[in-house]
Amino acid sequence: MDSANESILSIQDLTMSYGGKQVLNGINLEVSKGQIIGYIGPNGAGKSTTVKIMLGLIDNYKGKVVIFGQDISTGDPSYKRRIGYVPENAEAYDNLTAMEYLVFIGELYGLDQAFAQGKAESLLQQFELIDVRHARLSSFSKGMKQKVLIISSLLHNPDLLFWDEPLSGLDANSMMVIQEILSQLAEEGKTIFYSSHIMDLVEKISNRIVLLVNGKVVADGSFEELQEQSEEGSLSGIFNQLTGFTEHREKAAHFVSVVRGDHDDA
Amino acid sequence: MREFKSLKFIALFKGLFRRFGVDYEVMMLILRIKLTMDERRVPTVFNEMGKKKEGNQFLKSLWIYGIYSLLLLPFLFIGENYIFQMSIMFGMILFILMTSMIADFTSVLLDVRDKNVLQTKPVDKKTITVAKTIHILIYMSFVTGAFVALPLFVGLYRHGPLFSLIFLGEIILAMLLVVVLTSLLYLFVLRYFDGERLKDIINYVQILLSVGLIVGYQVLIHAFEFTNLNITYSFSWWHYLIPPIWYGAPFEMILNGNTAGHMIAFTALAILVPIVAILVYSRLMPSFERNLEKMLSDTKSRKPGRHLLDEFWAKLLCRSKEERVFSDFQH
Repeated sequence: MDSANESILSIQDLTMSYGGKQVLNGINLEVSKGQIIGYIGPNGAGKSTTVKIMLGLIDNYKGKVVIFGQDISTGDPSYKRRIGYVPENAEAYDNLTAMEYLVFIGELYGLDQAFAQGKAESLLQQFELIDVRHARLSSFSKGMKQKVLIISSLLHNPDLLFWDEPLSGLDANSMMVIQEILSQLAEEGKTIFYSSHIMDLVEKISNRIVLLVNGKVVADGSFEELQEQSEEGSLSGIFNQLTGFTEHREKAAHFVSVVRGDHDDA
Repeated sequence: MREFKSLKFIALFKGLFRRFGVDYEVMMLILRIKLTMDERRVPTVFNEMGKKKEGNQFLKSLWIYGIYSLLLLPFLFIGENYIFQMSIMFGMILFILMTSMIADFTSVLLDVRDKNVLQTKPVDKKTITVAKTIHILIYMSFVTGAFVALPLFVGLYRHGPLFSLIFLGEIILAMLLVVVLTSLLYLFVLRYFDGERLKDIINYVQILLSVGLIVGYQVLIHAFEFTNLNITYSFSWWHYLIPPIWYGAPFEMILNGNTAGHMIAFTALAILVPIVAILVYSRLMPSFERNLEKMLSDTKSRKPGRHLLDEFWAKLLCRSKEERVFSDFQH
């Protein structure tokens, strides 16, 4: 195995505007091998945009993104061979069966068809989806579909994982399995970059947390480091503090009063 | 997954794709998956029929184009005035192809899932673009085939092999022109608008185009003068703007030996415009893909407009609250 601080991913001064609106305001990030990075932030902070840029889905950004030592702006897609991606809203080709989809994705990653099939089957077995492997994805529940997408991102044994909301729709047991998979993969030297809104989980499994607010990194470090910086005890507390959100109680009270029908200022 | 005959045909051009730097194996892989999915897509009309239909519904609806094509046949029998006959025929062909393209393939062209599924994989953009275009072309050839087969054979019988040869060549050019023009049109629309607005605009474009094509017919027919059932053609500069006439000209030029300057110019346009359009299209494709991202997001907020007149009618005509809700919902 290579040295532990080999740089996998490096982002320098990443900015991006979108229809006149500045979505990313100069992000700097260095990621080395074996890290599990929880990428968190309020809705619309630019998390998914960053991930999309790194995957080459968006190319009119400014700044420099280097993955596995290759500047991705060259347009050469070969670096994606070592990346696994779980998209944000479980998008897949729904008319295909789980097996067809997985084999297709495996083949896109350059795997042999028989090999992809065998591997997909044994992974489906682990997730207890083997009985529905020939059913269409459109008939799957959100959690089942999410599991298929997670498998599809791992078929080719990638070195870097981008998981956008990987736990949405999963039940508590599956979440524990995924959590365990993440930490074991990281031990194997994989680098994992995931975003989530479930703070307890991020707190538990990440060894580094990056908090994004308004397209800027406002906190970056292990949970313990973040705790030292702020006085809050939990990650959601830190999250609230750093995003400048303190009036949740008043907000909720106001919301409920509107629900009740008090027309105080409506 | 079964093998597709259309893919076997495409396999004949393996070398050509390789020459253009397309990853042939990956392209075939994508096409096979796309065609498999198309077989399973049930058109909304059939959803309520309860019965589960197998096979590609689109291919099963092709016979209708065969019936449409009967309309073209009379024009093959009214003499040798090719510039008139063939301009009208190509007017119809372009109309059918364009409307079918907009009605059936907008979803293929604007599919945003492709981005997440394909573009995140180690597949280069050129291969994805070519696969997408070939996917559309496969279906367009089916539509064109169904629409043109009958006239082609009748033409062969009536006007001889040279006629059919020109016809075939021009059909391919016309098909390319339609596919590329539609894509360029969307490209243009996508450039200036975003999100939800874009989907509305595409609807408007679809309507406008249909209207435009009908109006175009009138313009086309006015290029000819009818006197006592004799149809004569006299050239004006604006004829350069009417594509069907471009496609009528080669017949006139080759079969009737009419080598007037404008005939040659029309022929040149018929051949060059599709080729130039393809070149422009391939140059602009990256920005098209980029703008496609807009389909996923809706960044602009807009004010809901109040429709006073609608509200008035709703109040007047709908007695219960429920009725009014549905009336409002329609707008």
